[in-house]
Amino acid sequence: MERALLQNVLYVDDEPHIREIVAMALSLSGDLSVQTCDSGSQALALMRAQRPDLVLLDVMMPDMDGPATLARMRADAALASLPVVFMTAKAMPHEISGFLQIGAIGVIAKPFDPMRLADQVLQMWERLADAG
Amino acid sequence: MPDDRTDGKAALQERVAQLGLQFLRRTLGDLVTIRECLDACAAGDVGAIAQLERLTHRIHGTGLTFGFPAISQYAADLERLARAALRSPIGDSEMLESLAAGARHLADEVTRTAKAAGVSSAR
Repeated sequence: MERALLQNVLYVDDEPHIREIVAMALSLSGDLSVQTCDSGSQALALMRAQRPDLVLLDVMMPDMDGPATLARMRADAALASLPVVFMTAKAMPHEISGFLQIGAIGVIAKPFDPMRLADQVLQMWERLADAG
Repeated sequence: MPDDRTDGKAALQERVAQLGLQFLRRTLGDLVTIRECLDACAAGDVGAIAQLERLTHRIHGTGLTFGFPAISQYAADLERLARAALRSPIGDSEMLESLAAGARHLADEVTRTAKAAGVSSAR
């Protein structure tokens, strides 16, 4: 079976400089279209409008944090199946385990290496495709 | 001959370096906010402790990405203290002293690093 291509990624982070670096880093892959926004509520609206293939969520954001955003997605039939990867400095083993338990497909620890980020994301996508 | 990906990597490295200097400039300004948070914490403002946790979390996560591991580590230490302070009795003097010491360590490192990079505060 042909593997689905990862084409559209949404990155959500309240930190503008990190958003810029993530967008540039993911664009290195050449095939990815990357959209960013700065809050969970804005992300939910974008997901409904644009159906990204994958959502990268910062964990600690004001108002609606990453886990709360994921919970809202899972409670919404239109968004429930969208895969989510958390990007966070909260990356102790028990914290990663907690994020996977609430439904994330993976966790990328901050700080990340901008030069390797696209490869990390693509590897997670391929693992998901292989499992699915 | 360089391809698009090589050009993209060079541009990314250059932008990371530029944003690193902006990070230092902004973090110098954050030191003022951190001092204000500590003053408010001493006055019993729990909201200020939560603000301190958010601010230090951001410096922690962003600092390493821009190549400042010591700043990131001191920010992580202060973030941990702020999280612990949220679970402590309001105005606990030992906790306030720990927070003040953590903030001093962070401020010293940020000031030293910014000076070495020739960066001054935007404020």
